Amino acid sequence: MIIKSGRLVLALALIGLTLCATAYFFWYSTPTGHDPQVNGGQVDDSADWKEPITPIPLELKLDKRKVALGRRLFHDPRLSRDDTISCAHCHNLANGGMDNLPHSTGISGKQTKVNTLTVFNSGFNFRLFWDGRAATLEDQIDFPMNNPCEMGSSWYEVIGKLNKDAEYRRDFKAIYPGGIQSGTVKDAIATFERSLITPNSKFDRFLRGDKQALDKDELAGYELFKSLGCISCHQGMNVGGNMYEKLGIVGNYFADRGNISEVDFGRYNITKNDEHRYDFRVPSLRNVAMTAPYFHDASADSLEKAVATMGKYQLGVDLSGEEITMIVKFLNTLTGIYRGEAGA
Amino acid sequence: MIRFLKSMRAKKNFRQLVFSVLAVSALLFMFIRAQPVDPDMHNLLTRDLRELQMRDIELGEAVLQHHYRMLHNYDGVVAIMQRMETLSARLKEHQQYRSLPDTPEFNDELKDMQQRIWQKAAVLEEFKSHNAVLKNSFLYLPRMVSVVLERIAFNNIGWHEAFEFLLRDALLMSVSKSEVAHQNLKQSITAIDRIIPGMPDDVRSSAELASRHAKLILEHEKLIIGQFAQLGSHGKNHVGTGLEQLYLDYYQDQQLAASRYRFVLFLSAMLMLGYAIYAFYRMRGEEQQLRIAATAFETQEGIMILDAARRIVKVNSAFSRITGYSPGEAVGRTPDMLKSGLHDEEFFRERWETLARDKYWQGEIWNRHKGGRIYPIWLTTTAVSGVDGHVSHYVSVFSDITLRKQAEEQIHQLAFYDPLTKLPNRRLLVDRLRHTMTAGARKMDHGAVLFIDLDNFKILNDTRGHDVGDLLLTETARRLQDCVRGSDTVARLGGDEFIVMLEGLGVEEAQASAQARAVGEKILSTIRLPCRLGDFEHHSTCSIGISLFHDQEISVDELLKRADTAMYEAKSAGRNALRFFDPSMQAALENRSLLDVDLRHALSLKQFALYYQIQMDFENRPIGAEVLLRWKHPIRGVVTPVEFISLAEETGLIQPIGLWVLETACAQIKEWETSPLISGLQLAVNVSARQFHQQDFVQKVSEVLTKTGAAPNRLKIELTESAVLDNINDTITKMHALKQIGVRFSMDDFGTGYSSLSYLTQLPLDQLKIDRSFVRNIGTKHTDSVIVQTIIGMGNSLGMEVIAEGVETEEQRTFLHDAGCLAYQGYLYSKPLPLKDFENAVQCGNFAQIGSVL
Repeated sequence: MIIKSGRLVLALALIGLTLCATAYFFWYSTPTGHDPQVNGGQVDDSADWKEPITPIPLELKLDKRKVALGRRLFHDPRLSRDDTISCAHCHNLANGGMDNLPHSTGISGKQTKVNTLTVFNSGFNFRLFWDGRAATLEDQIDFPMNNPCEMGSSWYEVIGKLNKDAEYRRDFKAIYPGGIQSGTVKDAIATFERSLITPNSKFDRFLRGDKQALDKDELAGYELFKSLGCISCHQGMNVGGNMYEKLGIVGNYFADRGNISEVDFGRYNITKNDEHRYDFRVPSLRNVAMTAPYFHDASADSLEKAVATMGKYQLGVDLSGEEITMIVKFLNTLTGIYRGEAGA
Repeated sequence: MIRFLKSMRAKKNFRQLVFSVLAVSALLFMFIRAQPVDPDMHNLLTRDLRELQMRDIELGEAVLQHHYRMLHNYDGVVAIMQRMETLSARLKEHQQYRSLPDTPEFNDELKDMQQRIWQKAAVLEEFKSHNAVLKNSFLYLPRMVSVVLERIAFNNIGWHEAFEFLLRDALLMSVSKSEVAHQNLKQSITAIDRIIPGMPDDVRSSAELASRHAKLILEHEKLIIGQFAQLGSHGKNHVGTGLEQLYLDYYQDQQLAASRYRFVLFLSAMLMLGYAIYAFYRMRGEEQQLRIAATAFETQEGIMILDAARRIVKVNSAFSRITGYSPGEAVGRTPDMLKSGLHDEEFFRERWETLARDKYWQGEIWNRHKGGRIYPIWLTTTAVSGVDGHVSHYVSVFSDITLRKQAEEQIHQLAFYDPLTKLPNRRLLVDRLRHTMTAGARKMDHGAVLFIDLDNFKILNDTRGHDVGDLLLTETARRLQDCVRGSDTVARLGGDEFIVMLEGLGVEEAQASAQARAVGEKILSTIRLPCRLGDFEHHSTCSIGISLFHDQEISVDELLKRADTAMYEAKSAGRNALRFFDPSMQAALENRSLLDVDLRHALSLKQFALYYQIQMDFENRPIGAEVLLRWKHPIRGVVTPVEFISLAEETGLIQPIGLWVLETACAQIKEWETSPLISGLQLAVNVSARQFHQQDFVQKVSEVLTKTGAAPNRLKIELTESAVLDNINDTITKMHALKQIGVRFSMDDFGTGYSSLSYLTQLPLDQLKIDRSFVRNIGTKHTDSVIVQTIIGMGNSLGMEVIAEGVETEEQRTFLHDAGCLAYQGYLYSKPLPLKDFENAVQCGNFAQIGSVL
């Protein structure tokens, strides 16, 4: 018996060792030190900080399957309560990423309170909405979905509808182990939205070194843009979209316009800080030529009017017609090309 | 597994299990604690902490650069802020992975860090807005001022000064940011505001605008100082520094603790190794012991181990060999399966009782082999007690004693039984006799001893060989057994002597005697039946001596001697008879023994004398004399040879007596040499068979002749037929040898023996003596007359002398003479006479006078 127990001891020792090793490896599994992608492909290299405006990257590395799925979801009216409104309804891709209306119409003919911003290059904005209430594209999706004036739905309803679709079930299962959930739906849609970049505008080509990309007037317009001080707020990759600023620095825009409503309070609605009253997230001027009307209240229906307004209330200058024309010419060079593919 | 669980019931095992579990848990605990902080986690954490601090510094730098118009793009600073927020979230995550402990200290630090970051983010937003405003205002103020200065009269120094001061103070403000500059600018603005209302319209808007911008500058520069403080990273207290410090301290503590646990583990490992080595060597020793035990177990003796419930748990290979059951067939069953059925339940009960009491039992048991065969074993069982004192196992060791038993049986056989006939031998018979006599004494029961001796067995042995003799003995034994009951005993004493012991013959002597006789008669007739020995038929007879007994008045030896005596009586009576021992026999016996004593002294006491009986021819001339021995006992008187010769032959006294006779006779011959009448006589001396067949007989005779100086041809040795037949070859050799010397031979009692005529021709006989029994019946029995005639005719034809003895009548003499027998001896002529008388008779020639006495 003892003879056998010698071997037994050895066996036990080996088992013990194996157990310890296993415990060690599982107990101390390291968290993957991965960075969750924030605003996918955000500029991180310090070299480009120095220029006021930087070009949009030509390609983004995004999961093709997620982008394709997100595209489907973006265009799927089932995300609205009565299956009439999809994201694309207000953010029409063929139309520059928005509907060119002063206010958009949601389900049951309800109207939004502010002008719809473009979805293009929205991945480069540091905050979303006029009041900057959403920090990421994923967070943004919740608002139109739940807003009774927009899609008026809920995740419970949407996931239910999506689950009934065998294709969605299959595709989600293929990409996301968790299947159809609010998190995965948001991830798919956001990934698609990030893929909506418009690189290679004239101005970007100019920035990349193509001195012939801008003509005389356009270049003059850019210089004016800088010398007048428009560049102070409308800077960065997205020509804006990375800071808050008061609407009516030098002049009182709202007093002159009248009919002040809650939406006009801007960031104050979020922070409840008096200092932030009338502060809005600076919008991106990329593709601005296509995204009329302008300002949160859609008070300017043309770029010229918008430029004039900006000059008067933000800078305190009455811009001449020539100046406005040149600036507008410059602004037109910010229109980029959407390739219609899933980013990279 | 079940066995393991069952063994857990034993407290000791349970304690051991608990101890083992505790030990393993302790080791596992120490092993886990001995883990230093995972280096990967540590690196990640310290890297994040470092980066956080770095980003904080970057933020401060970027903010300054923005303010000093070195940066125009807020993307960078937005990215830094976002990175810091990400790092902060990640650091919180580290708590989940145990790289940051969940202590209040750490939680507070983390919360604090997060607060700072939130605050910084908020301040950054403010900064960005204010900075943008400042940028533009600093752009427009100089422009407006220059427009105003252009439009106002160059000689309006007060207004010039005011606007120039305004511009100057604003610029100073941007540089110094001190309270003094702030006040100055404020004053300048106040000054301008006083002037503006009095200005012409074309200038007023620009002046108002200038004032507006100056106020913006004043307002925002004030705020920006605060923002710098909050966004700047002066000193060492960056975001994440506190946490890093806290963490590094924690890390060091962990490492130290881990290294201590490692040390403890190391010690444990060394101890365990030491113990393992010790255990290994001990195990080797124990292995050795076990190997010995295992070898001992596989000994040639069968070993069977039972549990407390008497079920077989283990057996060795010897067990299987002896019992025929394989271990698989035996384990689990009880030893009852080996029972032969020869022992009763009492036996087994007593066995287990002894075991329970003494813890030990040894004895002989008869078991049944698997194949059915019954065999005996010598079994030793020992009860083994466990630590609690109760019997835990029984160990049985046994060996097959079949062979030993057989040997014992054989020894018993050899000791008590005759190998040839398988009958009880003398020893066993004596034992049984003793037993029977003791038993019989209580009951006054009679018993009998029959002493049976086969007649002439020796002749058969000599003529046919010992093998045939053995056949006869075994046949005799069988026949004897058939004659008796089962309760009686037939024994072989030795040689051709058998004893039959009868018991339970009843209390009455006459009846017992009758029964004994009946058995004796039956035996006689049975023995008489022909017996086939090999390839010839043999007729045998026996002599039986019977002695009764019914109490212990005599010893066994005495009883046997009596039976023996009776048997001799039967033999003397002529054989093929039975005789009862009776007291007269006893007397004869006693007498005989007395005689024996006297006889022994007779020679030395010179009590012997030779008598001579004349032998005459047909013309009444003496031709010789037969020498006859006479014993003159002082008390008994004259004792005839008939009475003492057989005794002498039995005791061997015949040798010296015979020799004396020869010597005396030869001396006489020598003496008569000088007497003319007697010198011509031949002296016939009777020599017994025993004497004759002595090895040195020839030598002795020759010596005697030489010593006495007698003429050999005067000596005639008379041999009986039976003496000759005893050993025919020896006879022939001796006779020839003696004939060479010159001695003559005569066959005495011719016709009474069993000799074959062919032997007769081989013997160098000189004379035939016709036995007196035939001579007596001449004239009365025709057959005897014919025999006489035949003998005479044969003798004459063979060239031998023929002499008739016991001639008593003239008629007999005449017949003999007519038949051709020319020599005679008998009372007709003379009876045996002593020497003097004989010499006188011969001298006188007158036998008739003396010879009338019979």
